[in-house]
Amino acid sequence: MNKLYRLLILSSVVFSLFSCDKEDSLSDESVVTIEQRTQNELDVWIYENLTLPYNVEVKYTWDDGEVENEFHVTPPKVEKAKQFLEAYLNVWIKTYDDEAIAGGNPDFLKKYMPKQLVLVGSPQFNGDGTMTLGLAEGGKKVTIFNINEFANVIINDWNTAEEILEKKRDAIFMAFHTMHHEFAHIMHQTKFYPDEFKEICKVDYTGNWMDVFPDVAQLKGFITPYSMLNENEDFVEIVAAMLDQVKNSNEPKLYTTQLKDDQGNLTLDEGDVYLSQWEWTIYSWGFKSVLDTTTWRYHLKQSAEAREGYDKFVAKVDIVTSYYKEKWGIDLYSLQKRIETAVNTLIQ
Amino acid sequence: MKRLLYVFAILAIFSSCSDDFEYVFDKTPTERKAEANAKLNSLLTDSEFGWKTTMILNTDGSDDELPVVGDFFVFKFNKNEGANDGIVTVSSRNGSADSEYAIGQETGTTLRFTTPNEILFWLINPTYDKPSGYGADMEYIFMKEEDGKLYFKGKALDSELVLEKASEQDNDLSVVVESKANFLESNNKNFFFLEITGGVADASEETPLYIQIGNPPYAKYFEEDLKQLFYEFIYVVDGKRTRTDAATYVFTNEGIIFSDPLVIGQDTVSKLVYNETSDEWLIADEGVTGKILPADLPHVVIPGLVDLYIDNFFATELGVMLDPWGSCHGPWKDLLSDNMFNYDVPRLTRIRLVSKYVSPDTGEMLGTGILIVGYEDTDFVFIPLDMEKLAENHIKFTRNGDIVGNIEGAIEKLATDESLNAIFDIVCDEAGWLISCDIIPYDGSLYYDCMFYSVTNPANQIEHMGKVD
Repeated sequence: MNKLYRLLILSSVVFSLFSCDKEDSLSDESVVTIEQRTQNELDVWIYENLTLPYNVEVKYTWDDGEVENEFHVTPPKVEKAKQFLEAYLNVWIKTYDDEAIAGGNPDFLKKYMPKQLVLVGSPQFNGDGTMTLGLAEGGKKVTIFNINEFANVIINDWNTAEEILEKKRDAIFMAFHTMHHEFAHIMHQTKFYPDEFKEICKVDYTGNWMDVFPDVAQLKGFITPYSMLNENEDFVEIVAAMLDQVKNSNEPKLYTTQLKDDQGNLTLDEGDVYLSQWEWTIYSWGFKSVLDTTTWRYHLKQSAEAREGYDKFVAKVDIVTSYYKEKWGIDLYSLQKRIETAVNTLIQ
Repeated sequence: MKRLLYVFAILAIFSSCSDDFEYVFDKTPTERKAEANAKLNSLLTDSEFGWKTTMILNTDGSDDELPVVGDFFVFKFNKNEGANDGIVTVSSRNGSADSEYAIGQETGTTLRFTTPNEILFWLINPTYDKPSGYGADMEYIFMKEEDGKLYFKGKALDSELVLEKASEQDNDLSVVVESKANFLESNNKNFFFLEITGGVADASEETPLYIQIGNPPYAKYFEEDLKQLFYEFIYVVDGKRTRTDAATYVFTNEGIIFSDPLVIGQDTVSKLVYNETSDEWLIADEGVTGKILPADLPHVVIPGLVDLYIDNFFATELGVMLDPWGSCHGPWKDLLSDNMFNYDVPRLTRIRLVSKYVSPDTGEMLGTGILIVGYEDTDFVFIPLDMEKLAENHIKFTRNGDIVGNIEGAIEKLATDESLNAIFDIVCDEAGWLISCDIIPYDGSLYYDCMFYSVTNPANQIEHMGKVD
């Protein structure tokens, strides 16, 4: 009888090993569905002008997976997205591309430019009263906010045609500050900039940058208060400022102002200097108008603190421009000229 | 016992792999999701005249900072062939605009407005002071279809969207556009009231309850078209003045809805309808009678207002100034600027209404009157007045004595000058003045921002701000 039980148990064990061996055939159809959008005119334009030549994906319709859930933002108006993308192609992509080709680095842009561009119509309002205008993620994705206000200018009844053009020009220059800023992050995340840069203003970096007025930031050697957040933001803000202050880069403008001596100290002698917008920003670093009580005339003064800030800033600019030239073959001054030409063509 | 256990064990093994698995659904998840998407898309697009909705947001009061706002929309969905997206035309009081929409699957079948349009998105767009917008969502989860209506729940902000099939008439938004224009254009007098004659508090035909409808300060944050949508109610019931929070009118094809209804005790006024015969906007709530009443004179009576003026504001050193540059409005402003405040002799540079004036010459209490001050503060002419309280917000000034003063030639001039006497006659008009005030609490004090309206000619007004600590 025991043998019978053993036999029964053995056979049941053997049976159990095979009993669940059942293989269903796999379905030919994936369970992962990808929602396909119907392509509109702008989608076709994006594909032909950005995706095919530069391998860039642009998202401008609402996709909550592309923005942070804790913030409430809205997609851009289609016409503003189109306006931005046309400017993006001409003012940003083509200028960088041409400059990189001229600098002997023809693959630069296709290799390093953000491959995904997400456009958001509204700003992203933060809890601390600030608003985010751009985000870069891992060198791949850049999100640009506030597209609905792209290149918007306030035009008054009394503005001349030239003044209106000037406003539009300025608005486009400024609108790409965020792109220049975010792309500069990709640059320094890919190839580090020299450590000397970090030393120049290291004692003045602060998380409370939003409480610092622009003129105070300048005295400490920063182009914007936001530059004071940390050395990386400082680095990219310099690049962005250089590339959004490009007016008169092709044809410097005449300034009749107080001249500087050989050591770069401001004198009381007046004269003519021809400077681009960026050069004037540096030239007039920390200038204040003061009243001379002996002559009762106002003149410009660069305080010792302002001079110190100027020296720090110029040192940082030298590092930034050398870094771009040596590491990437990009001459930022030449790029300024290209951008100015592109903007002028765009607004005609 | 042991054998029995062996038998059970063997039975268990043989039965454990009994393949009784059956698919609960006869389709794959992909097929079912595609079906759900297509079904919703068909529901949305199959309505010939689209879908209408009255969207009212922030009614739960969970965020004090958000006003109750709303709007009426008609959505007309047009799908792209073979796809789960399309174009939706959104129409409202303010015209029409297109958005792209898409249907997909997340926490259910979702309807997403993937591109913005200016008609709907004023309720969605974030602003500096309202980072989450005004409460509407861009993505809605489809909850159910019931009684021909489609119910959606906002994915991020939990707002509700209930779509009801629109008729051909609904689809014609010109009715809404016209009624909005008609309503807003009727607000062309100094005041805009709800005149309630029954169904609320103790209102009756004989003693109506007046609810002043104002444009709240909050509206200034908006562009002109949206600014005029906002309202607030100001009223006094049982001696208590109430000013409601800002809210918006919702212009629908059936009338006007107050997004935040007027609630007094158990009584509610929530909607208005237009009566073409009488050319009036009537209250449409059951059991409530009344209408919209544009008026030139204030009807909301603030208790104790005249007493406050006589005992307090007229009694201050400055009293109530009458000047043509800030405080006096209307036709009499020109009379004041043409005949006073010039270098003519006798110099009459300031004019005030006062109630406790003491003569700088004699120290005698001259009391209530019109005070005219010359070049120096001690140069004065005083026209005695009687200030009579006709009602809580109704005052009448009457001349009751001889002019006194120390400015040479002024008494004679005031007695004979026709233009100056025209000014005094307006002040002392027999019908008196009605007062309306906005009361603003600030820093522990109450600021009375008031306007006097001449009952005979309400265009003549005196503006004054008084403070009560």
